[in-house]
Amino acid sequence: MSASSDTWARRAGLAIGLLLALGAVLSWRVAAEGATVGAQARFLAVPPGELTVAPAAAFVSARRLRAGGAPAHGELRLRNITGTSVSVRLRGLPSGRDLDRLLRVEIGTVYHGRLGGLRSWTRSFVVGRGERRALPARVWLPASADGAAAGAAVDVTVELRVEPRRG
Amino acid sequence: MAKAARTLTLYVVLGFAGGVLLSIALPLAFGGRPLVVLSGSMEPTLTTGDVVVVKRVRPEDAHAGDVVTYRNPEGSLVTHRVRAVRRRGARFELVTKGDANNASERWTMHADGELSRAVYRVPLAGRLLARTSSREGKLALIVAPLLLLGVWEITRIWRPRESPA
Repeated sequence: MSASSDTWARRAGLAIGLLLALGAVLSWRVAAEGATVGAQARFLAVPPGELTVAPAAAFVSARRLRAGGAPAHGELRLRNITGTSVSVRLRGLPSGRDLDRLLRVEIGTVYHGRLGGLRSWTRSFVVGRGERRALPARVWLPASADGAAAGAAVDVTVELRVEPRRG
Repeated sequence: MAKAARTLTLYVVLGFAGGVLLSIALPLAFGGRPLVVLSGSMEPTLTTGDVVVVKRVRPEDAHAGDVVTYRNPEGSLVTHRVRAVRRRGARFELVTKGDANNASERWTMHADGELSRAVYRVPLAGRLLARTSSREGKLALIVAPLLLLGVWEITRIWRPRESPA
C-alpha cells in the first residue's frame, strides 16, 4: 500500500467515522412530546378487609387524555370474602385538585360525574356473600375542558367502605 | 488492499469515537452542559448511565413536552418532562414528571431564572465516564493510550519501509 493511499484511507475513515457520529447524535436527540401533552389519571383501589380487590395495580390508567378525546376504560373487580352480604360505598381521593372539575368519571352504576364529586362517599351497592362484582370504569375529558387539563396528572386512591347488610 | 481496509476500519472507529467525545465536550464551549443520568425516572427516553447534553433556556422558552433540567429544593439536579407551564406575575409555575414516574412535581421559579432543556443524549457514555473517575479508571485512561502508542511505534519501527514507486 503506497503512502498516499494510506493517507487517503485514514482521511476517508476519519470522515466516515465523524459523519457516523454526527448521524448517531442526531438520532439521539431528546424528542419533545409536543405542545399537546394530555392529562394523566390513575385510579387505584385500596382493598378493605371484607373484599378482595383486583387488579392490585391501577384499574384505570390513562396516560394521554385529551379534551373531547376517547375515554380510558378499566374494571374494578370485587369479591366478598365475608360470610354475609355487605353494603359497599366508595370514594376517590385525588392527589391534586387540577382535574376535580374537568375530569369525568363513571364507575359502574355507582357513580357518574366530575372527579371532584367522587371525594364524597357514593351511594351504596350490595355484594352478596361470596359474590363477585365487576364495576366497569370510564374516565374522560369532555370537549369543554379545552386545553385546561393539558399536562395535569392525578392519582386517585379509591377507598371502599364496607358495612354488613342489615336484615 | 486488506491493509487499506484495516486502516479504513480503524480510522472509521477512531472518527466515530472522536465525534461522540466531541459531542459531549464541544457544547461546553457554547453554554451547553453534559450531565450523567443517575436514575431511571425518565426511562425509556433517558436511561441510567446516559449522558444528556442540556442547553440553558429561559422559563418562557420551556413548553409542555420538553425535557428540562432544574435544581430541586434539596439542591440536586432533576431532569424531567414538563407537563404544564403557567406564568403567574413574575414567577413561572411548572409541573414536571419523570416519564417512568407516577407522581408529578410542582415548583416555581422566577421569570429571570434559568433552566436547561435536554437536547440530545449519548447512550451509556455516563457509565464510561463514571469508570474513568475511579482510581483504576484513571490509571487505565493513562496506561491504555500509552500502551497503544507504544505498540504503534514498535510496529512502525519494525515495519519494512516501502520503496517509492
